[in-house]
Amino acid sequence: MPASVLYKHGGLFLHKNLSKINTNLMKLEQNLDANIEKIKNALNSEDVTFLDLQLANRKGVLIFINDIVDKNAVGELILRPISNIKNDLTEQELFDLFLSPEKSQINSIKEILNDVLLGNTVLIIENSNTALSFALKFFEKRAITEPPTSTVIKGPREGFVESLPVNISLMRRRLKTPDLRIENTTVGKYSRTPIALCYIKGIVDEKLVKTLKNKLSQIDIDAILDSSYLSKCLGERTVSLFKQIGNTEKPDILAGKILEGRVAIFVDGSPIALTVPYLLIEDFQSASDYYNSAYSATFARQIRLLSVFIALFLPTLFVSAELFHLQLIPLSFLLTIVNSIKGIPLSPSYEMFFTLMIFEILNEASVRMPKYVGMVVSIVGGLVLGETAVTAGIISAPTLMIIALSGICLYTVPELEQTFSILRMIFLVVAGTCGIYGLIISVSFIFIYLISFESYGSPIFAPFSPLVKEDLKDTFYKGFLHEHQFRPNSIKNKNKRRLKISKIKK
Amino acid sequence: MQYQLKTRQICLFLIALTPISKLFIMPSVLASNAEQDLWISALINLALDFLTVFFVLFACKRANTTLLNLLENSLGKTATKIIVSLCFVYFTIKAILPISEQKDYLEMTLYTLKPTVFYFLPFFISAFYLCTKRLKVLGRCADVLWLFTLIGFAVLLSLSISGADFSAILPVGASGYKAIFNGSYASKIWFGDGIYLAIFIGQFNYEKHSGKKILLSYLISALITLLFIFIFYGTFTSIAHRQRFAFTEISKYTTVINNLGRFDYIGIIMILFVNVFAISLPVYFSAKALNYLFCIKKEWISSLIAVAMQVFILIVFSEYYASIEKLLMNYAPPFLFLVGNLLPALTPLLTLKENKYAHTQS
Amino acid sequence: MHIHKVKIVMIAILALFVFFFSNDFGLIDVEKTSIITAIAIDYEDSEYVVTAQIAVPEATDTNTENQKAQLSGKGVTVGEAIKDLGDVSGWFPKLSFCNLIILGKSLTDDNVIKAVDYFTKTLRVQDSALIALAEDKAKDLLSLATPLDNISAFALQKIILKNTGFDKDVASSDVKTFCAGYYSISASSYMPLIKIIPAGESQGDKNAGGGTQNSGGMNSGTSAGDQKGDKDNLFDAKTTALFYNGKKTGELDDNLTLTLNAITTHIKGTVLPVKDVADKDGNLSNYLLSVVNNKHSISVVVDENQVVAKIKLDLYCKVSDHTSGNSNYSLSQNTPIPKAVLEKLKNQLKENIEELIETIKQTECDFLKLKEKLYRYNYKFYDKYKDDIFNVIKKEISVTVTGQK
Repeated sequence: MPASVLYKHGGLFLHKNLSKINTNLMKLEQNLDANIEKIKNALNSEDVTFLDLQLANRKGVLIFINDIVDKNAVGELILRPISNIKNDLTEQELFDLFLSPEKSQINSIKEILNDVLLGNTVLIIENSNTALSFALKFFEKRAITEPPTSTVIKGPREGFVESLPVNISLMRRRLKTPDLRIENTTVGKYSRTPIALCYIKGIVDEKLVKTLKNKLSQIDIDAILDSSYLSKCLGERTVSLFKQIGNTEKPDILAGKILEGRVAIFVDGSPIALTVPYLLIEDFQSASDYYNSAYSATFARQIRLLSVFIALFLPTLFVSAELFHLQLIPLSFLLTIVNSIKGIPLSPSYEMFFTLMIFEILNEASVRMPKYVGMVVSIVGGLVLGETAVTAGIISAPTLMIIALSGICLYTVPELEQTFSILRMIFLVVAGTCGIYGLIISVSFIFIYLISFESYGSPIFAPFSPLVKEDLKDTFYKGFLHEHQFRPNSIKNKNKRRLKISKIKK
Repeated sequence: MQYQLKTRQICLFLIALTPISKLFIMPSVLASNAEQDLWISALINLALDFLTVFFVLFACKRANTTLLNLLENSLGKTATKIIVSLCFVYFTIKAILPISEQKDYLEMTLYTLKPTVFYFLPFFISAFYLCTKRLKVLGRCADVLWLFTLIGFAVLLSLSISGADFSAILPVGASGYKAIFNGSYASKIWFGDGIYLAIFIGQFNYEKHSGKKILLSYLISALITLLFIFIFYGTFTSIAHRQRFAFTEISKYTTVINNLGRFDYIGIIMILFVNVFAISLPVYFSAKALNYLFCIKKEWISSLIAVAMQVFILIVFSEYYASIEKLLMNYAPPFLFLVGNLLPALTPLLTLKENKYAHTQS
Repeated sequence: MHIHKVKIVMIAILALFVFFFSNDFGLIDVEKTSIITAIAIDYEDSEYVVTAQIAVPEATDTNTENQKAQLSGKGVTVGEAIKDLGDVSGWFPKLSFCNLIILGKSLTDDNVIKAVDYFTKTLRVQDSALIALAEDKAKDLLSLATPLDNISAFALQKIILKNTGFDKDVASSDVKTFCAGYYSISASSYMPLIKIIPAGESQGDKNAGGGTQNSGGMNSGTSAGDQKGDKDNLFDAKTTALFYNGKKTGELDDNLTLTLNAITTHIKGTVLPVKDVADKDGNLSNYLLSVVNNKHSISVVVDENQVVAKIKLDLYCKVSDHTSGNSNYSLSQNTPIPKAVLEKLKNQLKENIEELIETIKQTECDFLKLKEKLYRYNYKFYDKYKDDIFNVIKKEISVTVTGQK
């Protein structure tokens, strides 16, 4: 039996892992001071406010954490009704008195602690075994903007934010169906991060939801600070270089994925929603592919495929050809290469390796640096450093050009950029050591790895392997709308038909 | 019953993997024996394999369980172990030449100086990794690799077909039946693909048209092999027997190559990629045979042993490669025929016996 | 297990980096390689002398063209001589780019296949390399300067290949074709004979004296190939050297070479001169016809105990140019080509084909592969006729020349 278990309470899954908090699981006593004493012992922090109140002849204490409650709402919905109380009221009368739309009655110290930490305001009253909990949370949140990682020319520009309710509201706005199910839970011993599973009943494979819930319940971690933490916990292979869980920052993409039978996972505090199961091809699909014509979408996808090929293999093929297989290079081009590498002190493999390292350093620096310095970095790095290195004869012009092209190409598939840049480095080292056959072996190794890899029952390399003919029309070829009458077979789902052509024609 | 493979994957397996290892030195071996009748020698072996596949399909149709279960139920455990041992020896022998060919190919064409075996060793890492995987993964490999095989062939054939003089294979049969038979005999080691299908008995769901599809796939595979052999001999005619690595040679005589450089290497590299899997196949099945023979539960142990054996053979016997090649070509064919053709062709008898047994039981 | 996997991966990556940074397993990278563009083989003092032309690239920013250098090696076999090339220079001789092999005249005293065979045995050399015979010493051809290209090998390739769509008047051959011919039942093959047209001499005054040749690259030395002042040397490869059993047995002049190409390959775009054609008034005009299409076939049939070589050539031409003279023909008015012109060309070609067969008889070089055709298509008569086929063979030549109407 794991340390944490889920139990249902008021529509919420509450994480019951409170063993670390110094409290017992006692019910509320009639004695207010004793109750407050216990709570103060457990929540010994200066930002927790204990506000003494007088409810006619009974004393009461309002408990909340200063910075995460909406104080205006507390004043209007709790304090104002209390100030109007003239006679003693029963618990039920009191409960009815408050106008807060989200309120509940709780009766243990543990639940009080839970609610306060989640941002609720709790009212404990003298001579009562029941406390009242009001959900009057208030967290500062960012405005809804276009996510920088997936900008589009055409199509919705909304992106998820760090607030879980806002993110769910964005989904609700797109999928107005009672079948859209949201199931909440919290993960993290200390962070107690609210997490929401989101799927469409009737489309999703229920086994998948069950497996996910089970897996979430088994996660024993200090904190989930971002959805990426969760994605690593949910991944089926612990040491994989490849992504195992899909993600997106855009509600329209997420809606599309949910409609294909995937389950989305929102993490409070993260603007990135996770999707399960994940297929590798997803990252070659862009939102704009579905808003543009099928022709341009197909063209764009072919370009992405070509770009990834260039990014991964151009530096490696160049190095292996220079070192081992000159016959692969046309003579006139070879002469140009020999021209350019005259006097370069490094061997072709080292030259490519160090240039790639410099590129990665520039890349990393430009991400970390403040924006106004970033411009300087690109000028100094890209132009000055590159130009002078070539002029000074440290690196050759073809090498610089190849690395630049390879670097740019990788960003056509930004989701896989990190994985591919590591792969590129590995391939380069292999090519510099063993030549093209080493490269072929590395690719076959990765290939075997990928085709034997499954993400929650779906082969990650589908629809290519196993070959799912019907799904190929949304891969490097993007079919027309009428070709997408059924949900993909690469993912287990129900209710296969998603479009009836006859209705469109009418 | 949980099937590891699909009919489609078996078809693609036959198209993608079986013709590949026949492209390296086999055509020159055929040419040195049968000259312009090399295609008849190849055809004899292909026909034998076709018949084997045809018979095995009967077993596939009737089988309710895997080949090993069939063998155990019909012949008992000891006999099964003997047969699996024969298969282990068969696959070990069958792996030797293609692996050595691949190494030789790298040494002689792709790398400038004769390198140590070091450049080829990474192959064994990949082979080992494949060996640790289930049959399902092999099926999935075929799902992708067929495309590489066909593109690779298309590139090479399109560049070479215009320069080939197909009349070079005339007059048919002039080399004499003895030369033709010698060609078939010496090249036997590259054939015997029917055994793979025998291993797949009970591993896939035999549907209505599965048999036809599989036979058609085998015919496509045979056609690819024959077409390649025709073009090969049409390109080199009287010096065909000197072209040790046929598939890299045939495409370089076009004007386009003269002008643009060896862009036919796109096709060659694709074929080399598929060949990594094709030459891993015998090692894969020898590892599985070891699994059964010694009841090894951990796949990686049997894989390691099977791969280590091949590394050992390659390194220790690399100096005697020519002798080994001669030995295998001269003495192995009867054994190869027995295990690669005859035993698989007898599998329908097992299913008959199994069904009879089941019938009696019921 | 996962921890083990991570450890194994880390160790593998570490090992890979160690190999990468200590990588010199005898590998020969581009900087240690000499890119050989052509090889000339001569036979001197019972040894093969192999002269290799090496491309020496010039820095790109100076806008100068690539230069050449030459190296020579000696040995009792061609393979040994090529090995000697590397020994004397310290460079690794990279032969993958060697697209031209020139044989010296001295080789024709013996079986040339002794020299050429090496290139079909090794995979280090492309057997798609062009092969040609020098009028004198092969190495002199490589050291000669020509306005066509700074690197004479490239210039020679241009002359031999002519793959840019102009005249197909050279019977080019490559190592593979030459050797395949030699090992075929005809034992016949051919290659272009390269003649030097020295500075100041025009095409019409071909005198292959070669007096201005340079002696660059002799015996293990290197020399820059840019011999200023000799830039006007040109080459002619329209003559074809014929070989039977590896020995040179004859030559085809430019007319016969062109006819050979017409009946064996496509010669689209090739221009054919037709001289002194009399019109109805008796005026003489010269025409230059351009081949639009040619259909050809050569077959050998055995008919009533008679071996017959059937040679068919259908040419479809248009007029490229003509001397105005008093001819009524006008290019601008799309006038049909006068019948007399077509007739004259037809007769010329017919005569040439007959002469070709006569040459086969004399030289025993079966460049039309008649013997092979007998073997392939009439195998049952092969044994009967194989020894004296050229003496008993009958000719059936059909030439049609049509013009644009």
